Amino acid sequence: MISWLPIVQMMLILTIALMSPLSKKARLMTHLLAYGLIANTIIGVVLLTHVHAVGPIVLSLGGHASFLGIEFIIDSFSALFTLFVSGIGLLIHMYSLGYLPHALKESQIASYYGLLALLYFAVFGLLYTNDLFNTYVFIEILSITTCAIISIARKKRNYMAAFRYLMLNELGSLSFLMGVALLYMITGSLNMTMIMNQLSTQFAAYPINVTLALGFIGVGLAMKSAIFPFHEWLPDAHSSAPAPSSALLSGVVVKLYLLVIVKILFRVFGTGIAETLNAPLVMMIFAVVAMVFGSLFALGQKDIKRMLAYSTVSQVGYILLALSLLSTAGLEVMFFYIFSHALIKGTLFLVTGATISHQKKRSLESYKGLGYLMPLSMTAFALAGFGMVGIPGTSGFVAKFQIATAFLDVDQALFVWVLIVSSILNALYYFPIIINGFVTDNEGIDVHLEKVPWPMLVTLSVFVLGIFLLGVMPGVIMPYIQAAAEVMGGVS
Amino acid sequence: MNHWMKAEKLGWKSFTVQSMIIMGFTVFGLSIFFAYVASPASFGTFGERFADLSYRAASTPAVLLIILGMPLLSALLRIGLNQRSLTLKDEILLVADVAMIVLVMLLYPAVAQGPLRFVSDQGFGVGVSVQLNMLAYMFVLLSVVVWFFVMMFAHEYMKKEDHNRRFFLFLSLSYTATLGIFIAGDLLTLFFAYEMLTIMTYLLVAHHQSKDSIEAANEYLFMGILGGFSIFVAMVLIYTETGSFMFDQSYQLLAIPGATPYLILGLLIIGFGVKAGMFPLHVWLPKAHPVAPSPASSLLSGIMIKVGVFGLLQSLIYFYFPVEVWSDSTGVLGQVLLWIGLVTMALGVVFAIVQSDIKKLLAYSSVSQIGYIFLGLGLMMILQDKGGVALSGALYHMVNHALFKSLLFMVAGLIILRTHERNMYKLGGLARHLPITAAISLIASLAIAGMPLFNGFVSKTVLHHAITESITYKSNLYMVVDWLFIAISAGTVAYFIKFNYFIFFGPENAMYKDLQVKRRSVYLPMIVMALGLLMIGLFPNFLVETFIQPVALGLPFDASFTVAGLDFNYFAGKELLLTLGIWAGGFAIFFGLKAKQLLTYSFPDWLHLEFLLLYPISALMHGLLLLIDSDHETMDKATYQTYRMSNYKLTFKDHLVAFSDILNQKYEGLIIKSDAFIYTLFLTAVVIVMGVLSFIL
Amino acid sequence: MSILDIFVANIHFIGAMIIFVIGLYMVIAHPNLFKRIIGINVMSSAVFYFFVAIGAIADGRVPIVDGTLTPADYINPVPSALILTGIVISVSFTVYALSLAIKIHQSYGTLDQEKIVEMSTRDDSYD
Repeated sequence: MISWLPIVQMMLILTIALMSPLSKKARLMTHLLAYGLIANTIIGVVLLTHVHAVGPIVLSLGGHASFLGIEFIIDSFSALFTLFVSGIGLLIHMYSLGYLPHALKESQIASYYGLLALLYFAVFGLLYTNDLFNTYVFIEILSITTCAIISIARKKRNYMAAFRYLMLNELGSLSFLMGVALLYMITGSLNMTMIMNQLSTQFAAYPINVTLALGFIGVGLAMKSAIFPFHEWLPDAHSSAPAPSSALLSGVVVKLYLLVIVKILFRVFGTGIAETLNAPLVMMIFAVVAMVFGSLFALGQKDIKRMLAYSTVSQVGYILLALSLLSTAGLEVMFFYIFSHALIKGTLFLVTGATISHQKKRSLESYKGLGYLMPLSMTAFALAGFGMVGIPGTSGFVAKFQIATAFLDVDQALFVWVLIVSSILNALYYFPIIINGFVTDNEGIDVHLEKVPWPMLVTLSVFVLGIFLLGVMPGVIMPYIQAAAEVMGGVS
Repeated sequence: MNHWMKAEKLGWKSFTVQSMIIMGFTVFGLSIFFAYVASPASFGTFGERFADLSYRAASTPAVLLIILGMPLLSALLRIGLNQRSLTLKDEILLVADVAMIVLVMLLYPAVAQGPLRFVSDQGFGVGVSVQLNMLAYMFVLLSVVVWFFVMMFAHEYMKKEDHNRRFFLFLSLSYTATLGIFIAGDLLTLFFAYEMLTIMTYLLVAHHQSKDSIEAANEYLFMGILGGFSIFVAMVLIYTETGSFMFDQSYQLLAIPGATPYLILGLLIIGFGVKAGMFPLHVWLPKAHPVAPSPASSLLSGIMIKVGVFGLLQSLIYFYFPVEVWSDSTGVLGQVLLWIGLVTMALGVVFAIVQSDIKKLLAYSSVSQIGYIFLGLGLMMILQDKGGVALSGALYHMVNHALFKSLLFMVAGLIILRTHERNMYKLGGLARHLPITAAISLIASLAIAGMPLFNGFVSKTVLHHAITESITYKSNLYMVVDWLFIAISAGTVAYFIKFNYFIFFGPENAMYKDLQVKRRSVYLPMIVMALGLLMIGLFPNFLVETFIQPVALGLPFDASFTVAGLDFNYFAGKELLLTLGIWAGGFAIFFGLKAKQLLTYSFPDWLHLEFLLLYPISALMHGLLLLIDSDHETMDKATYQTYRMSNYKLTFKDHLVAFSDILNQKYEGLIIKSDAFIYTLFLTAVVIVMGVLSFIL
Repeated sequence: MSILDIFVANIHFIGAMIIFVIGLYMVIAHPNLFKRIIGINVMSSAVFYFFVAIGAIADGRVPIVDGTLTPADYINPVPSALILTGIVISVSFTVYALSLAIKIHQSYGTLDQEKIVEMSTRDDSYD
């Protein structure tokens, strides 16, 4: 009975997506998507507890044997992250209730929600699937829908940003498919577990194939997860997209591609081959470059959403750094960082959404004194900014602390210093905004709570609460994260 | 908001009278408390019942948490009652503080019996803990008492300031953070409170929101965050080496081979030294104190810089003190602390003597006095098992400094309030108009300069004894330390003569001949504190026997040596003669410098510490800028000319901003345009690597 | 085996790679948006070709079962089936990209990417 639940999840959200042409009014889709996400979150909780207690569920779609058919594996890893996506999606949906009526036309909102539903469908599929070509299909669905939620606000900049993002996405997907083809050549199967079994013997015979495959797949996925220097689409995409899209993009979609990299590395290639091919070293170099250059470029930005985009580039570097350890401990750190960053970056983008819709201005200069006009939003911004820098009490601190200890445990002290330098750079561009917001003259400005739609405030508060909850009691999700890491890391 | 212009009527409703009543109760309570502490037995059954109550209260962390939470509650209450009179609002804070004093007094018998410790597994992933041993207790008591006096002073002072609610809210939050640092039971909790303190005090320094305030506050914040990161790295290193950062057993980090323990200590010294105002990280102090409102300066200098020393002391005690036997390496650590202390002392004195700004002089004085404390800590490590007296000197000086420095800042605040003038050369002869202030200033100055009968003399004597011990037991080379100590003490005398001379005595400035004494409530806390200084000076052994000696005895020092070392007559002839010599020297220095017009010497621009430290980085950035933009198409000619000028006119921040600007303008567009190209590049790289590999294999 | 033999044996794969590079070149070198879309299409054709070629076996038969041959005699039909899906995906991408290009042309009046970037940085209006 329980093994039907993942199918129910995906079919539900797909049906909701397909209902979007039914009505021009936004009401139908808003409600449908809300109920769908609530249902999915509940299912996610049920699945997570079941899988945590009992063990993974393996579904063979269509009943075909595994080398022919498509397998879905629901284990601690996929259950945890589907819950993560449903939860964040639900909160952002709540935010959109208040925000979208101001940002988009009525007819667009229905399509927007339909696209979002498709996006979630692709995400669930991406997390569950155990088949490489299926991964490609879901990756493509995901890339088209993310480009669509950027270009839905029909402004000039959106079109160009979405077009560029689409080009690079396609480039990445084709690269990925090429890599899959190279692997298929030597293993004869597309099922991830079967490929891994084969690769351990075939690697010796066809090293070039495997290396090329890893290269193609790696570069392709790197383009989609905005690892520096493949991040070019991110600043434009973020600065033009509506705030909920930005939050989703930065907080969920980019991370998802990183999780696909995790799956590929651990379930297809295996850490043995990856280490032989020097993947950890390459990842570490890219990560350090991303951490430093992301922040350096962020320093000079004048527009707040672009600055936050470059900050995401930098944070992706942190996550990649954790991944480069290629161990269960590294995976734990990486997963926690993903949770923490999604909350923090989500808060930051959602606050900018509130600010931009309230103030109609978005340069950094316009944040002067904003603390008095919009105290709640700016407080949320300040608290999320503290999380970014790593002030204790926030989840950002716990995440950075974990990275530091993980690297010291393998005697690589250099990265602790890189972490510190990067955190200092973070402080250099976040603190001035917070200071500007609160510590300026407020002559004649009468401080009162801003009139921001209540759904937006609810989401912001839940996010901020989450940041502090994870910061003070990370033990709430650590068991699940550890289980997910073990399930992934113990395979190879 | 001009209430302060009207004279306050004395009546039952006035703040002056009500605060007198509260003060009366508090002083009475404290006196009885100190009598109990001195001899518990003489209180008979009351004493026993009090002790029982204390043990019961101390069995749960509830009391400690109430003490921690009380400031925040009172501040929120104050904000909530916004419509009521200012008197009521400030009294809420006072009454809350009195309640805290009572609770702290209540905990004494329990702490005297043994340290309190509460650990929780939850929190931050590794658990939090709070502890209250005699050392922490001493500082908690000091904080609640000093805070009480400063709050009473603040009522008057803050009447004419804006943003009152914000000020008191953040003052209370800093209070909670400070207490949190004192009662932290492990390094992580301490770090949490430390970061909180940095952030909360930011708004105190930036209170006036002028360009100077914000600049000073930004610098303070930046250095605080840097210090925080330093401690973070040390914390992570300690965690990986020992598996925990609890303060419940010493780990003897020095037993670990290699350079790691020294690295950790270096990071801890940097991290805590920023807060303490130790050379070379003291640069924020002279900028932050003048711009902060006086109550904030009092507390900043009085309590919050002690936090830095306290953190360092805790780290030394729990990670570097011996488990069984003192390690020889502590001598090296002690030398580092000793010489840092001496340089800090000297630097503070030299800069204080040439200051014209009242509060800057006091700020540099704080730097100098912290140097004394570091001297004591250094001697403690050098003397190893005989270090009990040095530690006692340092602790005593911390207590005394808190008292007289906050008093001096209150005096400075009062003067600035009356005359609106911060430059002491423009004042003069105020003794006639502000007699009480002048008297208090004299008392505080005598105390800090080390006049017998006042408390400064006492702690300096103990420190001096520690120096003598080091000469006797370690090496004659420490006589150099002794001479420097005496010289710097003479310098301290000199700049306080300057302080009082130019403000209160000396030729009168015609502008102030109409100065009148208006408010009265400010004098109450100041007079009581001044009396306190006198009492400690007259009965020096009281604090030693009741608080300081138990702390020293609880640590792995040679107990009998400590007791013997602390048991001397403070009024013996040798000490008095030495003091006489110091005072003579001080007068000589002052009048000598005055005659040679050197009292306003300003050091050349390039001698500033920030320039020296940041010059290499600025030069690097300057070079990078010229490199990237060598055809200066991005920077226009005018900006380029500015950049060609001397580096130190531009701050590090300017360089950073320009650097990131140019980086963005030149490269961001380029990178974005060449998206697919970069992809091809990396793909080609992969293929080439393949080609190379396949030829090798 | 000589180089020529290796070349002939893997001709499909080498051909696919060449087409891939041609497509990539189109994407990089041409600022015209349509040409970039075409370039991506060429690249996807290359990848699909590569994939299908994996299934090709020398002297293989068309995979229609008629009971007379063993499975080993047929070429592998699986990649072809997969590529059908791939082609559909490529079509949907092309549709979306083309509609975006049309909208861009309507907004900016040109399809030259460099000119568009120049125009948008000049306008610099975020709203």
